[in-house]
Amino acid sequence: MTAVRLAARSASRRSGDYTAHAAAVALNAFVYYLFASVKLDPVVNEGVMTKLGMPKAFAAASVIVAVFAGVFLWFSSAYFMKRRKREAGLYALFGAPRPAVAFGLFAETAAMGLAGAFLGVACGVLFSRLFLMAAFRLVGVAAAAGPSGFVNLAAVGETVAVFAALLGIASVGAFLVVYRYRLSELFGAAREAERMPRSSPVLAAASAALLAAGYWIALTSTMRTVGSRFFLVSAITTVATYGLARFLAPAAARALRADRRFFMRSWRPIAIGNLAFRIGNNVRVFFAIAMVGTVSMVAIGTGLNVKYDTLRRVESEFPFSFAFDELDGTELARATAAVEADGRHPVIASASARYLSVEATIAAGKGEAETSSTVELVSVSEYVAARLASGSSFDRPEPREGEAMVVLTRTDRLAEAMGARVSIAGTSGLVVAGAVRGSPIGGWAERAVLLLSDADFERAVEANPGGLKVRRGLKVADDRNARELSAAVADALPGARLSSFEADVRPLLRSDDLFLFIGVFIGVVFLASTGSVIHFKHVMEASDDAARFRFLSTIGAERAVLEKAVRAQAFVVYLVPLALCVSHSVVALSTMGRVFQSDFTRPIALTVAAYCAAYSALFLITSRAAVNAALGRIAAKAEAAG
Amino acid sequence: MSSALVRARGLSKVYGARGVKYEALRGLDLDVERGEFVGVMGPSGAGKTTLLNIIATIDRPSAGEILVAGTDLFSCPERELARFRRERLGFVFQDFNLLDTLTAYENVALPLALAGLPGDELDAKARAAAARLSISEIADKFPWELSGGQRQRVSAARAIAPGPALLLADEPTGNLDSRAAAGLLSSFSSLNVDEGTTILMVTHDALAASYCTRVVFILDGSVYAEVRSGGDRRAFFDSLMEALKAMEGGVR
Repeated sequence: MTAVRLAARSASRRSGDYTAHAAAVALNAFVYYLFASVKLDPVVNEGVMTKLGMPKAFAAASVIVAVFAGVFLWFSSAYFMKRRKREAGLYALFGAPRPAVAFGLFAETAAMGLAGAFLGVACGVLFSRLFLMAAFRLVGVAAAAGPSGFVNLAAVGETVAVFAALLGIASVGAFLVVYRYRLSELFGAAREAERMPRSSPVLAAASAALLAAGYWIALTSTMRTVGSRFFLVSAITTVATYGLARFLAPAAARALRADRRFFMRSWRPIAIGNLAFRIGNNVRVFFAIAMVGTVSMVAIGTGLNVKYDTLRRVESEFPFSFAFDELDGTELARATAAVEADGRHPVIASASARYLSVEATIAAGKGEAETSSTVELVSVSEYVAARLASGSSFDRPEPREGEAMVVLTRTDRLAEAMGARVSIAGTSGLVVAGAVRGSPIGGWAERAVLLLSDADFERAVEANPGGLKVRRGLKVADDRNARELSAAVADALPGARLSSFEADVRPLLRSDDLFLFIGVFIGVVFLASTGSVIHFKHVMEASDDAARFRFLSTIGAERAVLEKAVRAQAFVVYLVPLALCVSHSVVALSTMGRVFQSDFTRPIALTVAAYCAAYSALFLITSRAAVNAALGRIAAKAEAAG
Repeated sequence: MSSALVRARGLSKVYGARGVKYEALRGLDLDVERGEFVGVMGPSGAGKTTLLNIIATIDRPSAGEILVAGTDLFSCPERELARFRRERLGFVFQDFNLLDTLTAYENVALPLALAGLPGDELDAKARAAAARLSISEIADKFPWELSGGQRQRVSAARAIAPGPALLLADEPTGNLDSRAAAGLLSSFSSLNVDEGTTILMVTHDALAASYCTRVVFILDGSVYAEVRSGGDRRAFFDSLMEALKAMEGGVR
């Protein structure tokens, strides 16, 4: 029999295993093609999308996908080859020359991989247009301008090259299996009894302590130290995660079985006994899934936070739809005329405030050097009136004479400004006594803005009359969808330092959405891939257990009890990686929140909730499939007997 | 009503549907009295294991009636059957069927755990069964650390731990060397004599069957002959060999 026929027959007999393997390759190739098609699209590589960093973002994302695909294919091939060792041994035992057997395995792995890659690229070609449209829509490119051509040959070429390399490595690994082991090892593979993994409470405790140390280092990072600590924390977390998966899980299983009263009850000896053995075989899978899950959860959490942060900033720093400086006193009339001409977005609020630009000398604390810079002053009564008119929430500031309050932008820290002494012509020296969040009229702050008591403000105006200007705010209905009106107002107010949602915020939101889109897409793909690894591995193990469960049924175990045993195992194989990646992600996101002075609570809660929900759904699917694989025939018999 | 623990009347079992049919049992009658140690012998395909599976309630007869302790088990719902198997039957198999993931003690205690016995009672019964089969010394070892004979004794201890009314053994010495087989059969014998445990054992081996008090020969799905022991095992073995030769002649 030729090697090719050997491979063909073997593949047809193992269609279940190979369909799973090919599907895994197909999924990875599909995702890679999608990213490559965006990265290499001619429209993406020009104009606004290049400015937003879209090609770079997708290039980085495709590298992540390629790395993940490589790791995933390596795991997948290794797992299937483990199941094939005995078969290879049998062929060799019956006299097939080693090169023929090795080439058979190589051909089989390569054929299934290529079939999967071809399917993945084909699906990619079909769906890439949809994917590109979604990406274009996010960055605001008109659909009419969007993706050029049906098949992106460059993306096909890149995907084929990347997967040929990955599959080549996996197939060579399969080829070498025959040479790596002695015949007796190959032949005896299926008879190898499962062995209880060594558990070490000391190493388990050391891993937990190491992880706690890593968390502590991360959570005490500051903006200054976070860069240098990143690699240390990553290394510690990686080692500690492997240690926990390797030592803590078996130690926990051992501790549970040590308590005989707990262990020897109903389904527990079956489930915990199995887990105690299989956790050892699942260590690398748990570890890889925990780390991949962490990366994707952090990516999604960060993407969500960036978007929330922008929205929070918008609410705080853009209380009005349009903000502009008065130059000749006709700006309000011209802007109002543009609004009325548009007719779709009536004015719902209007306010103005005087801003005084002055040179200030600031001393942060005793003995510190003085610095000079231009600041903008606003009187407290005009600030309050403007915030009230806009309807935005704010803490009512009450600076007394001789005091100043800082209008904080997102990155300002009150702690660094408190107590600073500010000298401004016309005032007898001010002390920073507090802060408020929220701009009076709006626009990204170019300079520090200080609120003064009305009396101090008027004195400063008298001393610096040249620095005074009036800034106006107009709030219109449905300003998030006022693209045309924004253009009309911009045309009506040339040179008036116009700020608007469309001009200042929309580009930010677009890049935020793009980042979030990539994060969520990679997260979903990783989730689907890791979920499928757990699913297939667990269902195959459950299928291997079918004889064991039939025997247990013979000696009187009820189906309900056996179901619990199967479900409990599925629960643990999902819970362990989920718990690890949730824990890592919460720490990583909390650290980012602390470092970047941003409230990550909501993105953390949303990401964790989404992952828990997704894992719960995967658990239900897997446990159902595992119950069918392990107990399917018992059910049929029970019905017949009943 | 008979006092027999197992009473089978007109049992038949047909495998296959339409086309090729195979009749494993053909109107078989059998009684097993309480406290008996009955062996079932016969050539391959005679229907020995089918009979055992039907008595064990893991297979259903195509026709006929079977009562165990006066109860028609096949009229019970599956849950009741599971409870019956758990509490009233013990099983010993040729290939041991020990769970590799559990120690010897845990394997012995497994049916008790599945029955939901409280901790103290479970422990007492498991320990008693382990002591009965002389495996207390190896209670904390895993199956792969044990010899074939030790594994089969663990399997037997698991079978007797719940205190079953009937112990069913399917070729229990099939995978054992002669010394381990003798040790196991002596244990069965003393269980039967000392504890009054009723045992039904399927075997190919006349030497193993010589430990029984009665041996039933099955040929082509029905009882061909039966031989009772007079108490002398060697003489009983000789009678069994003669019966086997006669049956082989019958086959020819």
